[in-house]
Amino acid sequence: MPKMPYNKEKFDRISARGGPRDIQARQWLDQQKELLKSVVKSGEELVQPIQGDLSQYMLLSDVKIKILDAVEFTKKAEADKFIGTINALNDKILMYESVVKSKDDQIVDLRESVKTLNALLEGRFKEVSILQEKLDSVYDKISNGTIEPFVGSHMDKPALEGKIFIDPIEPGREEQMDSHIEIKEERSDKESDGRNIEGDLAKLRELLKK
Amino acid sequence: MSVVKGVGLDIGTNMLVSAMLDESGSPIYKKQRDCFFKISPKSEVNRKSIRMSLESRKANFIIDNDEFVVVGEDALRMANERNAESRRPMSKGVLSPREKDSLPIIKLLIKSIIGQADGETNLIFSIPAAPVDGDFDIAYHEAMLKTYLKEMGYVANSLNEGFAIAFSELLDDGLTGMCISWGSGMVNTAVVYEGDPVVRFSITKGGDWIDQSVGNALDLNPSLVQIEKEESNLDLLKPENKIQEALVVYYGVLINYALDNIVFELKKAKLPSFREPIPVVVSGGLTLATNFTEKFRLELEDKVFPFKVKDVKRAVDPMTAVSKGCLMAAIL
Repeated sequence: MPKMPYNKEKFDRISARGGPRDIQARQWLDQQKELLKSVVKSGEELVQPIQGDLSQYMLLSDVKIKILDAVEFTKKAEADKFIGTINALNDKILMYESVVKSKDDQIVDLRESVKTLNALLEGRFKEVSILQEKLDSVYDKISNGTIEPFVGSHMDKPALEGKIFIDPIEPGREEQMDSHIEIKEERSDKESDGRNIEGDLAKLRELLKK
Repeated sequence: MSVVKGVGLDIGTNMLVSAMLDESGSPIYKKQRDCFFKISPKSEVNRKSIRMSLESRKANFIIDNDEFVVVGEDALRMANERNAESRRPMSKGVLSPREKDSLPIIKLLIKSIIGQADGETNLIFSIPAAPVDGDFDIAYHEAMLKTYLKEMGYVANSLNEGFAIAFSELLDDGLTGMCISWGSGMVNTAVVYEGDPVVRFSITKGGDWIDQSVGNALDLNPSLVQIEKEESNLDLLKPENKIQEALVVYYGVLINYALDNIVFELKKAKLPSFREPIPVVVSGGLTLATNFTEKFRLELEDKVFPFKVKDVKRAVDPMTAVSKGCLMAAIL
């Protein structure tokens, strides 16, 4: 604060502290005192207990408990949600596993059926082969005259017997021919290259189950 | 004479081949070219000179009344020397009733390679399958041969030519595969499944058709073409002259025609379902040409078969495969 100008000549009298500067100093002090009082008052106001209805407020410890409860609740809710999803997925996996297992069982059953059918087919092939052999044998017998065909002889319906072969060579024709034919025997070189007829015959017998 | 337990006989249009076992159990083969050439002497002197000539060249011949019938390899050569054509007792794989003059000759030719038997020896002879591109019947051929072979003292039965090849060449494949016999008169095919000949058929074109076609194209005697085909080391991938070039062309045409027919017939047939690829065996005189198998393989690549082809192989000996298969069937 600037000092108030005071031009009064000094004299010996002791002032009773009633000059303008003193008044200014006192005024300043009074201001400071008031200021201090107001500060103290504010402080007192500050430390005064809160007035009014405190029922809507909670203690910090309770808040902490509530927060922990909320965290626990949220954690549990989220965990439940995930567990639910996982359980649903597990259920689906189990369902798919059961479908796969059922399909596997079906495949095994089908394989068994294929095996059975193959065996059946093989049996049929053998039967057909045997029948073919029998037919061939009957055909041979018919063609060489051992047995006669039924057609046209034992059946009612008339039929044309067209398979009659007449040798066009006149009897004794070859005797009139003087043959000068000499044939050389050959042995196949290739026969000795790791092949022999006995081995081949054994293989053939095995293959034809003779 | 070897001890005969059984006889296999390949009766081909161009070649007769017999197979039998010797005392040690090894197979022996006899071959005779299935053709003849008649020479009629004009005088007694001429007759004597012809005989001397034939004997000096060690030719096989038959004297039939006043005529000389040269048979086998020499018939083909002598016909060529005289710019004439040799004749065949068989045509397109079978005996023909129209060639009755040549029937005694084929009897003698067959007898020359199998001999006379005791009436109890088994003989299996090859027959072609029914043709798919011709309407002649093989029953006459089969019946006549049975009669002739019976006269020669054999218990004769027939076996399909393609199936006979399977007996000889498919033993390591479980008797499963396709056998194609490329002969002079025909191409015979058999598809065999586990020892069962499921499909058999033939095509009435073969080596003779090639000779005839090349002869027509180049104005040459078919017999000359045949000699060029058989004796000039023909390489089907590398022809060296005009005749060989023409031969290669007609080989290609025949292979293609045969394969198209085979594919067509197999698609019609009720084949078993082959679980694995199967081998294809080629045999017969035509396969003796160098690179036949390669050319066949090339043509095969473009065709779609109702089964997968494992490999193409030539018979170990294409000239004896059928007779060996017949022999095995006879002594089985």
